[in-house]
Amino acid sequence: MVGMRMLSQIEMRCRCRAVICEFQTMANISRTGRWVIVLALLGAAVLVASVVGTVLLNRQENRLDEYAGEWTPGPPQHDVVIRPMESSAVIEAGTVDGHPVNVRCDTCHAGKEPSNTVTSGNQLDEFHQGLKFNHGNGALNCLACHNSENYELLRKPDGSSVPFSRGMELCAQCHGPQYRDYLGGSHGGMTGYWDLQRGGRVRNSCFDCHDPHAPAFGKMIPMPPPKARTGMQSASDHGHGEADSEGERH
Amino acid sequence: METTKNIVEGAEGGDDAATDARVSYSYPRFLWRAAGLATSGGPMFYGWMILLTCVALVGANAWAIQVRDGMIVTNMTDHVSWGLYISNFTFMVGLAAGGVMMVIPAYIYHDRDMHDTVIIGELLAIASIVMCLMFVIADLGRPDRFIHMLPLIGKFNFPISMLTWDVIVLNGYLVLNLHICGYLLYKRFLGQAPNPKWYIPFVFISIGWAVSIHTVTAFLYCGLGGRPFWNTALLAPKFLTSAFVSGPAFIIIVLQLIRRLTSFPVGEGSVRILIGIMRITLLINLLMTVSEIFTIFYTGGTHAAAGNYLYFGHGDQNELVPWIWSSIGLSVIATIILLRPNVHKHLFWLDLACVLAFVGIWIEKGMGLIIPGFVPSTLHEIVEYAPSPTEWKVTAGIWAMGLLVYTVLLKVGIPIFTGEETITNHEHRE
Amino acid sequence: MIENNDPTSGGSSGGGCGGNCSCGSGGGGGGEKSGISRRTVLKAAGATLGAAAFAKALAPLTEWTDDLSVDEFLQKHYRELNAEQLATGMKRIEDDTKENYGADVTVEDVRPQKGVKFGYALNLSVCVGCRRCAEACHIENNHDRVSHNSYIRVLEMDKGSIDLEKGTADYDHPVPADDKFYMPIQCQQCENPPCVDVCPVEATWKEKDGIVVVDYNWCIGCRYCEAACPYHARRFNWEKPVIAAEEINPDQSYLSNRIRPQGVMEKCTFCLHRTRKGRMPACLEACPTGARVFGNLLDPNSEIRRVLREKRVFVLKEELGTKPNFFYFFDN
Repeated sequence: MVGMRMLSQIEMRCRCRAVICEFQTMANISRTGRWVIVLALLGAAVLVASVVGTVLLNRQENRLDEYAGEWTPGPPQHDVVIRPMESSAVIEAGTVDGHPVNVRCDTCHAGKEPSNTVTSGNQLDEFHQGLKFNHGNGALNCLACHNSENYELLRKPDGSSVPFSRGMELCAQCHGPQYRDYLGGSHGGMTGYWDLQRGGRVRNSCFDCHDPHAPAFGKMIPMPPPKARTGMQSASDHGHGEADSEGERH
Repeated sequence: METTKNIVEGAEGGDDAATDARVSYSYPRFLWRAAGLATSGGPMFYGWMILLTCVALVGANAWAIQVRDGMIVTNMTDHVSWGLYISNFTFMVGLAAGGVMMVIPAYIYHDRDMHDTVIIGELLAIASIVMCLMFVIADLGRPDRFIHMLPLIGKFNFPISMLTWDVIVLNGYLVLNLHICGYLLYKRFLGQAPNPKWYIPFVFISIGWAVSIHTVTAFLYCGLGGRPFWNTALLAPKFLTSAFVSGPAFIIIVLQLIRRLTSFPVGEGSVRILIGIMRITLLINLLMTVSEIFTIFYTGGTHAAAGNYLYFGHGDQNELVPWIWSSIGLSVIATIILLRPNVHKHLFWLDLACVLAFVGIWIEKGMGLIIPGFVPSTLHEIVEYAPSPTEWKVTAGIWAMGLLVYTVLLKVGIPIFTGEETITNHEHRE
Repeated sequence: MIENNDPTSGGSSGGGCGGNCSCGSGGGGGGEKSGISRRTVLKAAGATLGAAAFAKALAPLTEWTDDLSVDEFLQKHYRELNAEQLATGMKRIEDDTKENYGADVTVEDVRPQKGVKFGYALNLSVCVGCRRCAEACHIENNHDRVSHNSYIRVLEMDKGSIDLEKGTADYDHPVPADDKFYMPIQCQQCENPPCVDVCPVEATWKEKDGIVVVDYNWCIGCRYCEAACPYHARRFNWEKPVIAAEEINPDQSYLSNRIRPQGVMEKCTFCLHRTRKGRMPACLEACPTGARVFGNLLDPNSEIRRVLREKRVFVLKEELGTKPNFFYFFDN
């Protein structure tokens, strides 16, 4: 208001004569004047009401502040389960009546002399043909991992034995950082609950994603790429008739 | 000019005699009378109005279909999420702000010629703001939910959201100009001298307000850190300078039309002042463009991505290149024409320059500013945009509505200002 | 130039053709006095005709309003609904889904837990760019099938830089390609979200557990948030989503994966209908390599905290000050 008065004063000074005339007729506020006053007051009232209303509404305690409950740190109530690994050492030995037949390793290997030089299935006379071996850049042979004294077990580099069902321990011997990340939850797929107080979790083992004989993660066909346009007008979904074929779609 | 003066003085002289009659002529009654004025005219007038109505009808229909079927009928995407509507909105805000460029010389420097023609600019501001609001509504995915903005009923994210500022300043500017124009016309109609107390303060507020509408609109864009092309402090000043190109350019053309078609006293001075304004603002605008181009390309990096695409295209993707170069070309040609010292005597060249400048700025605000803000997208994907027929139809419809509003306003305003329509000869007829 | 209407003639219509029309000929010169009533009648006829024409032009709106309900129109902002009103609203959504999509669904309102703030980390060393996460998102969140929408975009980038400008999202060849790495980008659930600031009607806000949500029944569809988001995390429903009844995920929540109406914004909510119940988000469960780590930032023993502690993480566009709760890291 002060500003307005100042501005009008400036105007007055500039137009002295005119203003003197104005002042003479200002005593009785014109009809328009009253209109303006009423409108201005109304406008001001709406403005003030809206500002006050907005402030009040924003202050109002709303449901946003309601929590479903409180999460408190505590011991896990549910387990993290690693998807079971193969527990017995077997090999496919053809089919009988259309059903695959597995043969335990012991069946053959119990009476055979182990060889330290074999690095591929194709070097063998029987079984294991076509076994692709691509692990360790040629520095490994079969007996690096398979226990030559008991083929039902695996052999860690330190010489100790470990069953197939705990094969990940063998991986960890060389792939320490990956195993560390796995234990820390940042390597390897999983499903289930982040909150072990409310549910369990199932984790992939190394072998769900990596073939121990050729562990490199293979190439995948990706899911289809996104479309630039989220929404393509499909004629069938619009039974309104207007075929608004609108130019080019990218 | 002389006529007007005489009428005003005459009216002042006969003040006492007609006081009763005048006071009894209320503002609503005046508005009713104005509605009558606005709908009477010759065949050409009706022809023009019917033409505009037809275009508006096409636009209204296109908009209704867009609301029903969804914004899918536009060519906007999640990458280019604002298109022709917001481009035109931005431009119209400028036109509204530009209208006020006549107010400053008229009221601050008491330019006599301007005092008579200032109403043309103020009425333009009203029509432009109406168009702005229509463009915003057209851009909403859910226009039925506009009530969510209303105080008390809805939630108004003020003062955090710049869009709420824009809503306030645009509507405020509309109300201000409606008041100023309504008051001045009403008083003129009554044959009384307007009381400065009731309009001068508002005029001064409207000058500041005009700057604010375009500044706030620029802040809509330049406050977004994720859009490097917009995120420049130069945006608001550039908006203002370009507004003060497009506003005067439009008004010069309108003034010439009025001079030919009516007895409205368009002083030579008005046009000359507007030309003077355009000479400066066009040059400043070009300077700012050069400055922006320099910053973009000399620095390079992420900021240059949008500029690169805008000015040179990206391989086969060069939708905007012709637009921006025509915009620059039009501005340069307009500047050269306007820089001729006696351009006001060569009306053809003057009109041409104004049209070129107007179109140049229109392109600059849309295809040269809003769209490149989205291309490449924030993840640097280039998805091009060209308006769909629906968008063109709706846009044309809104322009037609705007011209219709402006025509009506002038139709009411001009006879009152020339003194052809006053309470005396109106009541005499009754 | 002939004046259209001579003011001195005292014709019924004052004022000439004042518009910027080009009056070439004088019209309405004769018969002015008798024209008063005729003109009025003509004006009324013209106005009626015009109104009728506009009504016809806007007729498609009536087909549109068939899909709308008064209750929905009058419903208040999510944060102002009481339990009863919210229940009514959710029931209406269930009924609408049954009517429009033919699917029986349950819509819940899942609130955050105190003491939980969600964080997400993504291991760029093991991501292979298979887009399984984007696909899982598409299915879990009941996205429009036609557009194949998803909240996740995976960028294929050249090794040697993390320059988004060199990324491409529409690669379509076996992955991972040589000399490329992959960067999935979704909502970063910023601490300082620009999208929330710009919304004129507070239709989007940040909840206490860090999730930025949208009230699909409040959004006016101005798309300002989409312009403001630096991560391309927001999507607009350009048309009514199309999805077959048998493909609809029936476990829905009000603020996340219920089928969105036409003309409103939507965004990733870290699958709050799952995560607020302790489960992993769908994108994480779909990841074949385990590149994704999700958890509670307020729990010092969580996997996500371990990543932040032990890995060198970075956030996208840190210079913008958005403070994402989504982190990227490489194996060391």
